[in-house]
Order: sequence, then C-alpha cells, then structure tokens
Amino acid sequence: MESLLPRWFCTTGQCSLTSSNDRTVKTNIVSTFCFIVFVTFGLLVAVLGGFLSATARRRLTNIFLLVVLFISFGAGLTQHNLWPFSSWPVLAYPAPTDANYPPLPRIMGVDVSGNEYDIDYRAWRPLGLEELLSWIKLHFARLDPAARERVGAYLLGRSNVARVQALSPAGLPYPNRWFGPLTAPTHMLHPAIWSHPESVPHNSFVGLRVYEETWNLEERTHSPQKVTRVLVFDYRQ
Amino acid sequence: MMRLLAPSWWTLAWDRFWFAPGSPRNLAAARITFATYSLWVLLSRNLPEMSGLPPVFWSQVGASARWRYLDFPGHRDLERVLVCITAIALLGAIVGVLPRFSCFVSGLLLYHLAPLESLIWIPHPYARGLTISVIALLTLSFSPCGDCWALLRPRRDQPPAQSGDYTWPIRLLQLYLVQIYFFSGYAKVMVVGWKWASASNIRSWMLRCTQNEQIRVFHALGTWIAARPLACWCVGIGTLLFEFGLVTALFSKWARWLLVPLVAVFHLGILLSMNLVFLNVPQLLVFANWDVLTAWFKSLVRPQPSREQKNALREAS
Repeated sequence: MESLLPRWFCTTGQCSLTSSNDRTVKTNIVSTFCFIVFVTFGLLVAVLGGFLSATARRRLTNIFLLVVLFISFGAGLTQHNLWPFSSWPVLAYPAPTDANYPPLPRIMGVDVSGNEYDIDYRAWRPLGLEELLSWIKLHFARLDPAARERVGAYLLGRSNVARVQALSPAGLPYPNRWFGPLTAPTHMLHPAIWSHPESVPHNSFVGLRVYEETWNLEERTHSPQKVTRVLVFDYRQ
Repeated sequence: MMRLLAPSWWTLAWDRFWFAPGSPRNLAAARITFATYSLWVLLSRNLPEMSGLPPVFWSQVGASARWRYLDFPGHRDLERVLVCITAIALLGAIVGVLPRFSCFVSGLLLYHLAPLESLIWIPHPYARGLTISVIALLTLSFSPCGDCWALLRPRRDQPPAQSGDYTWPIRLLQLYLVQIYFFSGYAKVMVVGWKWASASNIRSWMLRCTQNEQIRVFHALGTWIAARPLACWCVGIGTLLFEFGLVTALFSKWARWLLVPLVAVFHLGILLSMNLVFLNVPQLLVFANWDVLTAWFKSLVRPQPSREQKNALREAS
C-alpha cells in the first residue's frame, strides 16, 4: 500500500530525509526493546506461573497484560510503528490527488526491435511488485551508475527467465506449487498479464526502461490513456 | 455513576473481562487457526530468496534494521533451513505436538522471517499477513493452549473444564485483531481529520486504485462508487463507524454476532473496489464459541436414534 503513497510518508507530521532516517533508527531500537519486554514478561508468566500460587500467578499475568496493553496502545495512539505492534496506518493519508501524489514507477521490457512491453508482476519474484516499485521510488535515484547497472542486469535477467517460463506449457509457476492458485496473494492485487502464451512477448528483452508515471485523476476518468511518462532509467544489455 | 468511580468496580470489570471462566477448546481452536493461517502465508512467500538478492538491493538497509530482526543478506540457505524449522513448528502447533514450544519457536522465527518481505525499503512489514501471527503465536505459547485438541498433551493429568487461564489469551488475540481496525480509524482521523470520510477523498482513493494499471484487477465497483457522491459518503462514514465500532465486539456478544461476519464483507468490498487484500480474515475465527460449534458439529455427525431405538430405550429404562 505504501507504494501508492507519498514518498516520505510520516504519520506524525512532515518528515525530511535526514529526520526520517533518524526516526527509523530510534524506532528500530524502541521496537526491539518493546518486543524483548513482551517476550520476557510472557516467558515469566509461562515459566514462573507454574511454580506460583493462584494469586501470585494472577498478579504476574496482570502485569503481562498491562505490558501488552501499554506497548500496543502506545504504538497505535502515538502512531509509531513498533512492529509487530503495529500502528496500522491503513490508507491514513490525505487523498492522493495529482497535487500531492508522487510519480509511480513502471518497468517495461524492450526487445531487439525497440518495442516496449509490460512485464508480469510474477517475473520479479522473490520481490513483490509493490516492494520493488517502492524500493525504486525510494532508493534507486540515490544509487551510483554502476549500482544501477547491476540492478538493471538483475531485473532484465529475471524478466527474460519469466518470459521463457510464461511461454512454456506450464506457464509462470506459483510461489508454492502445492498451493497453486490457493497461494496467499500479496497485499495488493496485480493483473497476471502473462497468463496466456499469446500475451507473452516472443522475443527476448535486450533492455529495460523505468518510467515515472503521473496522471490527473479527473482527466483520466474521461480519457484512460492520458498518462504522463518520464524516462528515468534506460538499461541496455 | 458513582460505582464507575470506585476502584473495586474496575477491578471486578478487569477480572470479568480477562479471567471469566473459559473453555480450553477456544484456546486450542485459536492455536490451530493461527498456526494454519501462518503456515499458509509462510509457504506462499519466497522469503529465503530475499536474503539471496544481489547486495545492491540491501545497500540502503540500515544496520539498526538488520540487527533488529537479525536479517542479513547472502544467507539464503540458512533462511531456507529456518523456514523449514518454522513450518515444522507450525505443524507441531496445529496437531498439538509440544504445542506451546512449537508456538514459541514459530512466533520467534516469524519475527525474523516476516520482515524479509519488505526490509529492502521499509522495516515494518505490516499488512503483509504475518504481523498478528507473530504476537498471537507468542501469546499462545505463554498460555495453556495445549490442554485440548493436542496429539501430545502436557503432563497435567486432567485440565479443568473452565478456567480464567483459558480466557485472557483469547481476549488478547481478539484485542490484537480489533486494534487493527481501531488504530486504522484512529490514524485516519489523526492524520487527515474527519474529512477522510468525505466523498471527494473516497472518490480520489477509488479512482487512484482503479486507474493504476499495475494493481487494476477489479475496477467495476470502484468506478461505480467513485461516480456517486452518496456512495462515497456512505463508504467513508461507514468505514470510520465500522473501524471504531468493532471495539464493541470485545464486550458484547451481540456486537460479535453482527460485526465480526461484517468484517469479511468489509474486506470483500475493499478487494473488489480497491484491489487491496487483507489476509487476516480467517483469524476472526478466534471470536467463535468453539464449545457451541463442537456440540453442533457432533449433533450433525452423530446419527439420531430411530423411533424404535428410542422406544426400546424407554422400555429398558
């Protein structure tokens, strides 16, 4: 869901990059501490409880419950995500209009003729598409050119492997072959555009392009193709 | 009014909420539900492979995030072993072999494994399916969750039929689930304000989710809602009312009957209109009364005695 959201989202106010990093370190430390406290008090209830009288055991359990309430409500009410005690800021952001909305990355494969193709989200496994796009949005611009080339080579390799698999009779495999279509989906649904061999590009990709897409919500309701694309990365093999 | 101010009233209310006599079946059912669900999500992901990503993907992950979960790049084989151990522990929790230990091991290992899914860019993987599992499995491990429906029960001879020790863990698990909705509503109001529920805001969300071709699987319902201001108002106000109102399911049986099934409908609506999946829905089984369900199931399975048999029994008695 965060990949839909503004680049530096911060539920307690506006955040700069530096303050965001500082906040992340502090949150990591506090979250670890809270988790250790949770496990420690839980173990005390589980282990010591057996040796105590009913009254003492009840008192110890009460302390554990108070600790859990303190941590979980602390995370939620202050809106600091102390995972696994989450603050659950689900869609808790201003409406994503074109004014406050950052561009969305889109990855396209390029064949030897220069034709561009969308790539199925399953090509990026083990990366989920929303994780990959969010990573690109947050970190890709900060990488040096050599690192970008490495990313491009890796993604191109993944997309070509997936293209070959999609063209095979078995098609693109599910992450768990025993579960098949019952495999748990990711938080965001994605269209499986390479489900049929005829929709899969038959030529190998020789390059990848990453675009940033923006559009005006109202304009696009009338004209679905009205999208502005800016090329931010062009990788060639 | 005066009694609300008396500390004894609060103590009694506290005890009634957390320690009312409860059935070991409910706790055992929660153990099986959470372990089965966690196993499903765990095996649906390729978490070990995330550790094997090229180092460039991990280059922006800070040391504090890596040490927080002990997640480091380049240990794909080790992570595979850990996933296997977690899966075995979850199976142990499901069938009841060392159930408490199994819950503890799987809870701890999921704390390590779940963040792998998103750690390359964000250190808290909420809404990806395993957040509640971690704290729920650990909570279960701290409670006598193996006293019923377990292949290998702990050494205790005969567990009590009803005890407060079976209630507080169930209440905690219910609280974890209700907090998802309560904090979600609270965050909306805190960050955006009550205008989050406005028609224009809901319309923008619906359009954003249905116009984005990369997540657009369903679009008919979302565009239908977006085109109708009244429907947008209903969705906005209904969402906030529902998210804040679900807390009542902790205290009222009627609210449980009414609201908990509505959660599934709520998420189905979100799925069809916004293409967002919320996997935790099966965990709502923790609100069910498994004594009643078991009795009902037994009555279905056990053949009813025929009229002749009934007459024979009556004559014999």
